[in-house]
Amino acid sequence: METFLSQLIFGLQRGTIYALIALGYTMVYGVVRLINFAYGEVFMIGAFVSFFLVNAVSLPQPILVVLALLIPMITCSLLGLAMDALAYRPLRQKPRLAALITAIGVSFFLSNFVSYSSGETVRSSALAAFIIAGLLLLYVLGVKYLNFPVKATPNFKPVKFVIPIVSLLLVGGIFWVSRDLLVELRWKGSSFASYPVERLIAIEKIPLYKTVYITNIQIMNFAVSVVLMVVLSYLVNRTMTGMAMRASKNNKDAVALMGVNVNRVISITFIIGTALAGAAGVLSAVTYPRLTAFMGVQPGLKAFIAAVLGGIGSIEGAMLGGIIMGVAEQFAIGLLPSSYGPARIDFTPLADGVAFAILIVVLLLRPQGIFGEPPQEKL
Amino acid sequence: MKPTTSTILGLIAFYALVMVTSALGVMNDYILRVINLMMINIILGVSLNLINGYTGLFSVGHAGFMIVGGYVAGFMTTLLFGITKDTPYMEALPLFLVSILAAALVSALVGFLIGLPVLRLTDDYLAIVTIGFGEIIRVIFNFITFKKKVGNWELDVGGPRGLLGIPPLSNFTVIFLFTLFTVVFIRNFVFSRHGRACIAIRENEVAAHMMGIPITRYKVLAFVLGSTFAGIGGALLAHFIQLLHPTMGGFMKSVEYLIIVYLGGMGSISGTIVAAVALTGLSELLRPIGELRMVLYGALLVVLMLKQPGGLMGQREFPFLLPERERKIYAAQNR
Repeated sequence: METFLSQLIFGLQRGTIYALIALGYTMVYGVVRLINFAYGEVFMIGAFVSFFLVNAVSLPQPILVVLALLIPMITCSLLGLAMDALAYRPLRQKPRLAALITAIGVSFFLSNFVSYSSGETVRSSALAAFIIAGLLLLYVLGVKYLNFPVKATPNFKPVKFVIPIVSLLLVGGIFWVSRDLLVELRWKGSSFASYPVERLIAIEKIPLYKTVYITNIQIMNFAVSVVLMVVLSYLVNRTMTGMAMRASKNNKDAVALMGVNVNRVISITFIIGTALAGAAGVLSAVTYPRLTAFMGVQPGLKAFIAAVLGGIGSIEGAMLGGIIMGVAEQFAIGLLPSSYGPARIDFTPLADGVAFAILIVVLLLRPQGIFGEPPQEKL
Repeated sequence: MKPTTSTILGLIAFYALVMVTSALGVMNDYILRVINLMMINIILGVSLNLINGYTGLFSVGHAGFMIVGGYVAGFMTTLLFGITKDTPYMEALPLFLVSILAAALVSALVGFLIGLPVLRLTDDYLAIVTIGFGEIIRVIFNFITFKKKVGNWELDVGGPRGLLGIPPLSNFTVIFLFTLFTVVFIRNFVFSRHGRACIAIRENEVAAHMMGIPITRYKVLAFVLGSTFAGIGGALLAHFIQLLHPTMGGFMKSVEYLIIVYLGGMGSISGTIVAAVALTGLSELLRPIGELRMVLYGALLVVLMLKQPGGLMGQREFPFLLPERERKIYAAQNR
């Protein structure tokens, strides 16, 4: 009973993290039918931004806690906006496969970029980001005021370049500010950075029932996720933007005819999804303080499976799917024997596969997921 | 297909050139290794192109099939037959060929088992299931760590450490012949009635269904063929780099083969060959910049989809790969 309860608590905690990432997947999929594989990487970047911030700034603890959550969320939503504007928007009218491949490319790019910009190369990466941002800026100014290239098309909009330039500057700035830290840490390859939780909050165990404990970090975790999910529900169900979002899910063309800027709705969806993934990254880093450049790949895939399990496109589904997934995985870790039989077989590595086993079962039995509607073939 | 004389002469010339220069010591081992790796990548790329390019499925688990083949063959040669690197080559070769055959069969079986339920799903779901499959393979090979005596051999494929000490049996001749076999087989498949059925499914599934093409059967056929050749490629790769590691079956490795296919062009064997050669060569040339090339690969995939969605070759083929009739049309156009 005690084991069950404490495993349940750990499972719920794991589950809320999956649920937060899964929300991003499911919202974007609902509106644009795109699996944005890069959410796992957004998650990782959220964790790292928070890591830099907490290491670099010394502020009173309560302010630091709030900042350590908010700044990564803002950074990640900018990143999401940039991703959408640069990689996905140009492909919106193209076959869906092209966008899917692009998403894999973005994911590959981000994780390897972070992996590369560690250790001694961080200075050059920061400089490279600054230089590219500068060149873009020069290009924009040149086209705008100097008729720089021969072909200055009339629909040239400098606004389109604001997001990439700002995000590049931001990334470069973060690298530059934390360069000494990064060079010192050298979390390259197999090594990793460990998140300084003690600077945020002192870990306390609160007894619940006999030997069952809940830590204050877990409570914070639950509180943050619940608040975020409530805010999200309000946003989607009670505001005009949310209404536009839900309507775009049904029929994008009709929504556009109603005078809604669909591209803006999609951008907002990306912003919300990536901000949630960033928050999940911070929560995960606080709980499992081991950061690597590839830490996002597995949670990203598992969160996607959670979204499929709940019914992709459905927000309640993503929340429920994430929680089921987290609990199932935690129970697998807790219950699989670590040395079984005379051969002392260690079964725990199999826990990693539970998510994928769930996926295959779901797709065979109920491909539309728990809350999803069966797809309709249209000719 | 009836190959032209010049194609055959070209192949013989290429083979002779490599053999002579490496025997004379003009070409060093490093370049020979790169050429071998290029050919293995051609096998894996062309087989993935059959699935993703010609049939229009979206499999992201190619490395999973590859590593299944690799583990089967590596297990057989290393543990079952007990071949070491001191075994005389002529003694080891038949056993190696048997192992490759077994690897192909097991990969085909796994492909069939995965494909049959999953290919009824649409593209997104197929992508995620194949990713999941690759991850399950990784988890399983991570898990099998225990040593167990069955009869007179030990079951031990190394777990997270990987399978080490695989004998270096893949030499240039073996890899060359298998690459040739793969390319010819898939090319003949693609230009056959069955290949046209696959292309029809890619172009419009509903219309193909209306024409009486059994959709699921052809999807499974293409998927199984692709995974069979992935298994062969994996077996050759395992005996070439002499090491197998569970992470080689994962998402990251699969993406590398995806890049080969999409850079070359979906539905173009020639494109895949060009891309496999170019990317393998490029990643050797870019070795000094280390990890940055992975960053570039990711960016390459994005830029490719934005600027040149058809890849380098689109759906065009080198004339020598085309059937005779189309080759004549091609020649007439270029006169």
